[in-house]
Amino acid sequence: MAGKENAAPVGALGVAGPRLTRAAAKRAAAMAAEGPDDAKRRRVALGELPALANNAALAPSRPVKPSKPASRPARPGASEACGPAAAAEAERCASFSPPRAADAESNSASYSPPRTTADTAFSAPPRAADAESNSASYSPPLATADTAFSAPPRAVAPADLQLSGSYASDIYTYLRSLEVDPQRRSRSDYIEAVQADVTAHMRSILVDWLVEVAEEYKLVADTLYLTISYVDRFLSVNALGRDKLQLLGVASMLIAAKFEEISPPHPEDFCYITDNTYTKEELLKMESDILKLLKFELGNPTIKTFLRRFIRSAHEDKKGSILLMEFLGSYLAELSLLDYGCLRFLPSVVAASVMFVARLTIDPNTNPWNTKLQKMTGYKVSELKDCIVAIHDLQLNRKCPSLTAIRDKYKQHKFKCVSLILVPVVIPTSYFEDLAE
Amino acid sequence: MATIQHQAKPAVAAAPSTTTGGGQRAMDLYEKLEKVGEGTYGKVYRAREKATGRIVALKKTRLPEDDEGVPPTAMREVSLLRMLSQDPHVVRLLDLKQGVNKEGQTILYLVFEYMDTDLKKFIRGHRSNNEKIPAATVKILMYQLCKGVAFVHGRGVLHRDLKPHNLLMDRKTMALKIADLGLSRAITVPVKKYTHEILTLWYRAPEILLGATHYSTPVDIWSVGCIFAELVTNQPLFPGDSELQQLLHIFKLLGTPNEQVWPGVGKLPNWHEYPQWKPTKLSALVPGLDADGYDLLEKLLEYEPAKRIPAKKALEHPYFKDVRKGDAH
Repeated sequence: MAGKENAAPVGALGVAGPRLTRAAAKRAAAMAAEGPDDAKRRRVALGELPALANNAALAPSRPVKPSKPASRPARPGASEACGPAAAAEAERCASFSPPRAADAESNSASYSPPRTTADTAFSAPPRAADAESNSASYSPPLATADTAFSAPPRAVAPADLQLSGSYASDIYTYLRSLEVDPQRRSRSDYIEAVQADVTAHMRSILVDWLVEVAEEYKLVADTLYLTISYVDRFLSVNALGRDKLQLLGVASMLIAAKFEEISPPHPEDFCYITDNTYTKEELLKMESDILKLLKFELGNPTIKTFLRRFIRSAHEDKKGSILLMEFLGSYLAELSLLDYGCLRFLPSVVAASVMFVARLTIDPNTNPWNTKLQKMTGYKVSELKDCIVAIHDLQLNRKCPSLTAIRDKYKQHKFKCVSLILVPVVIPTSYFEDLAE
Repeated sequence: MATIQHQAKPAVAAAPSTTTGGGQRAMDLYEKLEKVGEGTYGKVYRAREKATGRIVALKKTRLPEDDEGVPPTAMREVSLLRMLSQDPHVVRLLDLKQGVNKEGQTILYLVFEYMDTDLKKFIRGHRSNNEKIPAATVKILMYQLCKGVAFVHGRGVLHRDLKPHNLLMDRKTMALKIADLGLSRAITVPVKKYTHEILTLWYRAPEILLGATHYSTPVDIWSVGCIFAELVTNQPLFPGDSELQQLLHIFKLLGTPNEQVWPGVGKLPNWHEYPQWKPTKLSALVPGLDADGYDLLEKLLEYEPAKRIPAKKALEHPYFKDVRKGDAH
């Protein structure tokens, strides 16, 4: 019943384009159902895409300014939809709180938001809508680090050679010392030890949604990993109400984007993607609080930092297959971000375990670990076993099965559909035996 | 033999703290004495710490007109300085004050150790007196610069704006420190795509001028080479006033590169047919160095980035032989 009712609006939403939070998605769906406004909504939505794409693609400073006016018209359109959409949503779902009422209540200092509102705050848009909007929406050429790997200019090779020869080992040694620095690492037990309201599942929902935001704004992979790292580091020290968890997520992503991107999204863009649940002032206040807590130590190594090096080094001799390895490795590494339990593993352990599982997936009949990998990563396979099992479980959908942003992302052709590759269900015990010296 | 004067190393300072408080709070702790310059993103003041009388450099973030929160350049500089400040050849970040101004905007004060001059002023002073910097002094300064750059690169950071103005000095000790990391970047191995338009023009590497976005540590080495030449002659080596003029200036003096001296140059985005100049001898361009000095300079100014000598290898070059003796490693 409900499914059938949702089918048509979702189709319309797919045409409409950019993903928003669930509330905005419902609003857009309701608007699409009403004939006269459908065209208007579609025009507004389509107008957004070039601006967003331009934001991602343009060089910094001057060119960024003109794009802001282009993105603004979308918001009045969205706010115009508020009235009828809210009414429609109220009829459809009794537990949904009207946005205005929720806003008023959240402004109260003593107010503790109802669970449904809080859950809504970090729910990602419906899956089906995502899938359709992915196929329907404008897909500009990728400017991500992954693209750089896809077709590296020849000029890269000489620089690589020099880096490998002179500084790569220095840098790796330093990164390994950084990742164990208690000031740059999150606690692996903060949900139990520090948080009273935030749960591991809420964190997973947030991560899943942030993957979509990073896709939406075409952010490089490092930005996503740093974002999650800042979220975890903040939650390791500060207990947070669930109503602020999404704010922490977007403020962390704002910081990571400023640190990492050539042209970071604006604060307004991050408010928009939360369906304006938070004001710009709240966002910038949270930014300031996070920076204060992190003591501006923003450059901690992430899973991606190590994975990049491992894949490149391991596949020096087989250039042809590196692309599949890149995407499969990225897919598995992003899955590990969903799992709070993976925080107990060092980023380099996760990256090495990802190498193992990716190689296993590509060639199940060969032991994925070898002396070269052991030497390069510094890990014996027995040291990786627990993490390998955790990542393998994620790949087999044994954990976080309902959070599909990452699986959906890597179903796309541009990522070689790596999330659809058949996975060996059992890892042979012999693969976990340490290699003979 | 000239050696670097090593002052006794001070006790390791406590890690910089972050103090909450308004802009007013920060200024309660420090007395601004005079404005001494501008960094990548803000004004720099000479100031006195009221509690101790210590003289410091206070760097204040420039507030963007459209309030976007903390500027990316400030975030990068502070973050990277956290990784690098322990090296004696990188300027030390002593403290960080974060608060809000009257309009409620976030404002940052970075508190640095004070250095009384920079290499730009030092060179200009010698130029205006019509005197060369002594060869021994050039060597000591260059050795410190290479040590600082080797450390920064070894930590996985590109500076991307090395120039005399960003190299702070103490006149008495001839200590030299790298400063202004506002345009710096953590690098990855392998390199990935970076902003194209970075680096002050005169010290900008040819691969950047030719539009490469996948560049790495060699861009800083090129800057080191330009600084080396300037220390010897008191004049900038390649003073171009536009990107094209900068390229032409380099090509006129070092010869127009081709696929033999720089494989792949023809495929860089901004490459096209340039006038074919032949290289001039470095000894004519930069009179006043010995043979080892010219050999090092040549290696710093290699066209092909992969062949440009890394800073840590430069430290082993024969040119620094007598300086290394004094280095207590």
